[in-house]
Amino acid sequence: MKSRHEPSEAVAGKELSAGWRSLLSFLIFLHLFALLVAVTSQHLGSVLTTKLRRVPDLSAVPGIGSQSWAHRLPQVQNYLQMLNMDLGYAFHLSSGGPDVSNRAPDTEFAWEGDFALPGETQKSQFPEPGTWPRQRRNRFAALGRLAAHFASTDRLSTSETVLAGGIAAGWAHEHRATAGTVRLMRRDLPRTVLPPETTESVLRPVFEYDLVAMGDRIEVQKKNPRSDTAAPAAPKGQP
Amino acid sequence: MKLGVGGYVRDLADGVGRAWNRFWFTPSQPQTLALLRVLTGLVVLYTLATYTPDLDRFFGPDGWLPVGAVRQLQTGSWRFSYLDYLQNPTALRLAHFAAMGVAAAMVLGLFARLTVALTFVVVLSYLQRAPMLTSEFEPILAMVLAYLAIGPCGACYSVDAWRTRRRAQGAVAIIGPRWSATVATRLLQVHLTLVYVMMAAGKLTAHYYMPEEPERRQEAVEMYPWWQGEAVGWLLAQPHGPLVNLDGLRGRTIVVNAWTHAIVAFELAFPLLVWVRLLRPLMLALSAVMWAALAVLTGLVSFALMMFIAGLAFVPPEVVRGWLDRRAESSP
Repeated sequence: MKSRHEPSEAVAGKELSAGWRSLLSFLIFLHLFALLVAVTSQHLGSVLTTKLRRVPDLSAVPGIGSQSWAHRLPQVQNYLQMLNMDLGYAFHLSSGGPDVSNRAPDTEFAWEGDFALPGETQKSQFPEPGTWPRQRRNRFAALGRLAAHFASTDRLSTSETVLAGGIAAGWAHEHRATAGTVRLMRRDLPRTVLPPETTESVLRPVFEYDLVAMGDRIEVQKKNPRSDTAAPAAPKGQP
Repeated sequence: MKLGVGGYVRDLADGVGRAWNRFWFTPSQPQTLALLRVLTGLVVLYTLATYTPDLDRFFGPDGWLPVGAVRQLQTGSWRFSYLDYLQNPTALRLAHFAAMGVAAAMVLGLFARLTVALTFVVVLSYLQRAPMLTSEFEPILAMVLAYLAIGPCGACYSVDAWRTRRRAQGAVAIIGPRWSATVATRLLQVHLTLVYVMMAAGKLTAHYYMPEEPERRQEAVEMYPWWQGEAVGWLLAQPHGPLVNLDGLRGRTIVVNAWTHAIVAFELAFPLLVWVRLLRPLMLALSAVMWAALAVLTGLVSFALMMFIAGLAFVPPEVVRGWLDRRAESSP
């Protein structure tokens, strides 16, 4: 159906020569093809799309897994990556990162630290309660999800370990901590639509880092990898 | 119509070709793109401002996300971020405020061709320096900026247009229809349609197993939260999700079910019905209501705002001109 706001067909293409129209049509077609490859590679499983993509090891990592695939068509992959359009757009309206795990959000992560400072100890948490605006808070929440994924996978590479530990060390460094513990906590959310009084949830530790002073820098040592499979521990200082 | 298969194929090819040319290359006015430029530029400014308190923390030389570790995670990716090369806190801060200046120039329409393209590079650089900090919002922002960068979005409601009028020394400068405005607008419309389709498809295929443990998969039941109407209940359950206290809704199963189904129905309907001229205003009004409600429910204010702004690509330029010129005439 033609809009009455659109110019009439009589003037269609008047400003463009046939050669330019052909060239632009070709480029538009290539762009739309690339977008179709991106979205179908993420969600559909035809033989063609499977051939066009590489199933990534980091497929469930928010912000990374959704953007690493399709080496069968490297030009398309590179083009879309440059434009930040290498996504499936299957958003589930969750906070803290695109949910590429094909599930609605049911877990929330937070970091908790018991820092030993010169002459005192301090307990901190991030995202800090009241972090404002929401966009800032969502970035911290995304980091929690990322670290939790790294903690729960069996295929940890050096860079993943470095990144999760780097978050813990960087946070401790900000507090000028000399010793202490940093914990990644998870809160499992209720799975059913129930009244609030029956849906109380608590934070429990996923894993812990011990802070170790190495000269003027703080290094981290992971204490209990894969403790996310252990029985929930009583939360410290949490509602 | 010519007889025979050959004639039919020729007619079909001619018809498709004419329709393609009419859809993509019919010159149109740039007012819609100009409106998108101003609104998107304001969102970019806000986004950059929210990075300011955490600039050193995320991107600094002693920050949480060292360039080397991030790049190692993205081995083989084609990405560029000028932030990778700023390993000095002062340089990082200077570049950040320069980026905000570029975004402000985009809003004002000052050297718009250049500043819109530069703003796109700025936004991509922040996203690609640390993709793990991004959410649903950033890809939509990047999408709109990409198409604004190829369209004449600074041709009106801009400092550039004001300077052109001044150079014309009082003569009325006519903003003519341009094919580049049509190409940019159509690309944005088509891409946004694709986003809506995939959002709806993603929700309808999202599932989990109950109980969840892999070793109990034999007895597990497949659950589809968006089909079963419970997804909004999950969103309500996020402790830091809703903007206001919506706990009162948690026990109201019918309301939660209805809201869940309304979200999916809207996301299925929008990409089809927004192309129908008569229903377009209705769909845009519904999108305003739906995204405002979703912003309150999920706390994803930027994402909801950006989805609404992107939807304005469907507003005809004549309507935008009517809105803004009327406002200009009524202002003192």
